[in-house]
Amino acid sequence: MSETHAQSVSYVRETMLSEQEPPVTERGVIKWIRENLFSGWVNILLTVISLFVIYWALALVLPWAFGGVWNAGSLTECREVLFSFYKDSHDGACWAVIEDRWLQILFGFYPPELYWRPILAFVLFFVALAPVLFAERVPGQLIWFTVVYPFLATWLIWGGAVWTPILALLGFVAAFVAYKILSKVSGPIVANLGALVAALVWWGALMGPIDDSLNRMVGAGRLEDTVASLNQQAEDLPVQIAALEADAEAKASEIAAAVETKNALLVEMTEIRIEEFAIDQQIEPKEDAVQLLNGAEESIGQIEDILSEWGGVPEAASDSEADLADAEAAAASIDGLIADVNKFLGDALNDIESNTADPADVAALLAAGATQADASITEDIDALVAKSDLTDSLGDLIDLATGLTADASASDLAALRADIATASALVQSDVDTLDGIKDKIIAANASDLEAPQAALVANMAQLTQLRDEATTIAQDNFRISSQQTENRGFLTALNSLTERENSLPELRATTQELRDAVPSAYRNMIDVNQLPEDATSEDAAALNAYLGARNQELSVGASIRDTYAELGRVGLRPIDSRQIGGFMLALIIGIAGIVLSLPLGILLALGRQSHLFFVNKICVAFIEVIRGVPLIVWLFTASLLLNYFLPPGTNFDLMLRVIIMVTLFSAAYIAEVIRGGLAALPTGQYEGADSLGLSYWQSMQLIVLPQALKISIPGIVNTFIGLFKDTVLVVFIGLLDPIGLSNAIRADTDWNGIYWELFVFIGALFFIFCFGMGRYSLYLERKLQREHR
Amino acid sequence: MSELATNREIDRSNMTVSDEVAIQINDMNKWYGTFHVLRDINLTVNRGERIVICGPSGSGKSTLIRCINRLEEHQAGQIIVDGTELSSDLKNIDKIRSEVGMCFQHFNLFPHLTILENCTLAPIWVRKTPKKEAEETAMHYLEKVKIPEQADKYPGQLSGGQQQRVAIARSLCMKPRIMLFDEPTSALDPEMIKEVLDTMIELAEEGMTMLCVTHEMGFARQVANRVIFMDAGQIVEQNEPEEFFNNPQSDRTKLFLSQILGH
Repeated sequence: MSETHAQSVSYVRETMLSEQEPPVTERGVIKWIRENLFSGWVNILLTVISLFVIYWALALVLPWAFGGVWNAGSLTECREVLFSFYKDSHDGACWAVIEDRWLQILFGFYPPELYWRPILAFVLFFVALAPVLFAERVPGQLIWFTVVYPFLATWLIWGGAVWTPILALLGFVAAFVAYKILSKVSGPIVANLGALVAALVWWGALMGPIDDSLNRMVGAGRLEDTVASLNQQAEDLPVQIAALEADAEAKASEIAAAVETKNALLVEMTEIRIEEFAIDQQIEPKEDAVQLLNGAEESIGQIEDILSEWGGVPEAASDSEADLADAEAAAASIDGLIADVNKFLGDALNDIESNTADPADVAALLAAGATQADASITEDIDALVAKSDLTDSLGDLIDLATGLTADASASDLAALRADIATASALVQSDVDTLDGIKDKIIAANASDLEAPQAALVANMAQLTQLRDEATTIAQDNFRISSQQTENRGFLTALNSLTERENSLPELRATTQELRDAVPSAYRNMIDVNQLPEDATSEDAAALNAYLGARNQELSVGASIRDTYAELGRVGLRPIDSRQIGGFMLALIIGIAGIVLSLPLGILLALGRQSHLFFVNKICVAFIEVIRGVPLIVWLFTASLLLNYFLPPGTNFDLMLRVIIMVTLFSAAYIAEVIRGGLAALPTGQYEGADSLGLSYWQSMQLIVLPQALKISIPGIVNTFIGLFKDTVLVVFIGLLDPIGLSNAIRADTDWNGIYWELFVFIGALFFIFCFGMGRYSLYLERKLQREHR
Repeated sequence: MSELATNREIDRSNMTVSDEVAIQINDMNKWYGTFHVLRDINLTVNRGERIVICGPSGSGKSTLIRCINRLEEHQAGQIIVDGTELSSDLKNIDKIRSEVGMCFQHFNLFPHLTILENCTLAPIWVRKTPKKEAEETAMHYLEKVKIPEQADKYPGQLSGGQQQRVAIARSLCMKPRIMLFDEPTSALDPEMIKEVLDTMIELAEEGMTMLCVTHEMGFARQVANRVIFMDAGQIVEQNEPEEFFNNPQSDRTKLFLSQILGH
């Protein structure tokens, strides 16, 4: 013992082992499969079940998706095409609705000739995003574009004069200048307040008049040219419209011809397949009869069960009431079942008798068709049971069943059941034979159908093309007609411009006069209802007259401003928010919400951490209230209630209200996510920053937030994805988001009843964006992980 | 007697104590809620002094030096640093913090910034030093703490001793007139303690005013010109190191010294 021990202690290796490959089951694909798919019986079971589920789901979806129709003008046409291709009513997707309406799903009712504007805004969005998302790969100066981008995008999408966004941007410049000046002479709080005041003064008081005077300046110089051009257009446009109408007529007749071709092709195919339909008509009643016979057989089985349970006709075993009731109930169910058997058998006989034909007649049906039925079909027909045999055997069964009573013997019942089974098998064999015949007919017809099917596909493609062209013509016509209407109104406005301008001083004088007539205590009132109760009726009348004159003066002033805004606009055609819809709407609301809610969320999170009592409590209350109420309630608040709180007459864009609500909602969530990140930072980080003399905002900006945000990235992106998807909720307050548009599309008789295709398309659009955001978040996490280990 | 902090001869030519007062603490009291942590602290630190503060845990040593740059707020009494009294005036606090460097037990480096960025951050943002100049200063101090080659790494890639030396360099980049050390070696392996102490000794040799909370008695003996013993929120005894270690007066000090030196 001690010897071996001594040996093992003093062991010295003389040759080193060379490296060897692992055994074959422990490397490569085999190892992976073994470890991940078949590592134990639970895993094997899961693998098998998963494979089955995947197969089942794909088998359901793929044929539907890939066997779909892309060219069709309506759901009916989709079905016609599908029917002409597949022997039974095959369930293929009708992608034609997407082909027809995808632009609408993307852009809503935005004017098609201006699609380039949102598209450009969307492309530039990524340019603006690059310095933020991929800071190290793009030049730093690009961040200036990011700053300007929100104004540029707003201008591109909504249009208007080019100086409006510039003037709005100057508000921030004003704030910045005020801050710089004030921070030199006083503390940061005064400087911040000053900046805020400067911006508000600029936007509230200065921007409007500057905008107006720019419009006026440019407009005054253009007046004559514009009137001339409008007059010229008044001559040109009707000619264009007439030409378009002629085009539309020509196109319509081409479409009618193509539809006729299509219908002829459908008729041709139906004729080719006439025997198939004839056989179908034979198969269906027989299949029905088999079902009924099986039902009868089952009912007899139940009778047998009851009888064997009771040992004969149900009789009460004792005189107790419960026993008696049981026996009665059993007897009643036997009676019911006997009635069922009779009904089943009667229906089966009826099916066969009135809806099927004798083999000879079936042969005649097929001979009427054009198929050169091969010899085997004739043999199959011969194998069919004669109709009289079937009806006789069913008739016998009915005789037996009619005689059936509750005290039938067990052997009678068994015999009847066996007879029914035999009859059922007989009919079933007919069904099988007919199915065989049908398959042969389909095979025989396949080659005949190829030509018309190909012709139909070509015809549908042509038809789609023609319809697209017709749509373009109709859109052009609509555009030019609206232009014509607009021009007329504008021309009238321009012609009366001088007159309106001249009338203004007089109106002003009248207003002033009437105002002086009102007792001085009431002069600043804006409504007669504000008068105190002791005011006389003369006072009321005077105030009324003054207010009327004032309103007239204001409305004339406003109409002059509007005319100049139109006349002097250097920029893009203005678009109303109501015209914006579809995926574009979801993107605008989603992106604006995301961009605005992040900074707001950060401020709220910092506020919630603050030691300042009121800042802290206000942030907590804000977060809890916003978070505790469903988004849909806030959206309704935005659309309905907000107007009550705003001064009367303010027209606050619904989309803007929705963006504000969505922003506040997601800011509350972001704040909580970031609070988690802040809480995860060790206090040493705050102390380290403090000990170096960094101010609160410096330490937040440089030390705390970079780390807290990094921790919070998954949560933040998660909230953003949620926000983006929640934009579809705006459908409930009447905005036309993609879901709202899908309803609008279904309201069209062409596409009434189409659901899946639209939802699949909309879902796919959302998925692409949300998946992209999720991937970026993963990329960012990995990158920061690598850098700041 | 425990081992020495360094075996080399310490250059004492610059280690002179001037008459100028760097920190003056008068009757300072502090409570955590109702718990009286610091009681009637009176302490005057002259420029150039190297003071070691020791005492059992919970005696208020760390709290005392954290009050000096107002990481903790005192509730009564006066703290005057470089002639400026600490009050709730944020401007004074930021001014004092930028004059007083501090090293923590857990270094508190910023993990998302490189070593160089850690060192240049405060000079650039607080002192408004141009970036280039700040980087030159930072490299100078990183060389001084002997880790210039790590400048582009992140704190997580460095050992504890290296991180603490970076923390010292980071404080020095602000060119502070006073340095506070809050148990700078307590979280380090024995091997690394020495490299940090070497750096601190070099700093002392240059005449820096230092307040160290530490249990490194070798350092106290060799470098400090005064040792303060605290217990239960009070200064129990202070003396020159030789006297303090060889001839402690109070029973509490004797007990404490016997416990940390006696094994």
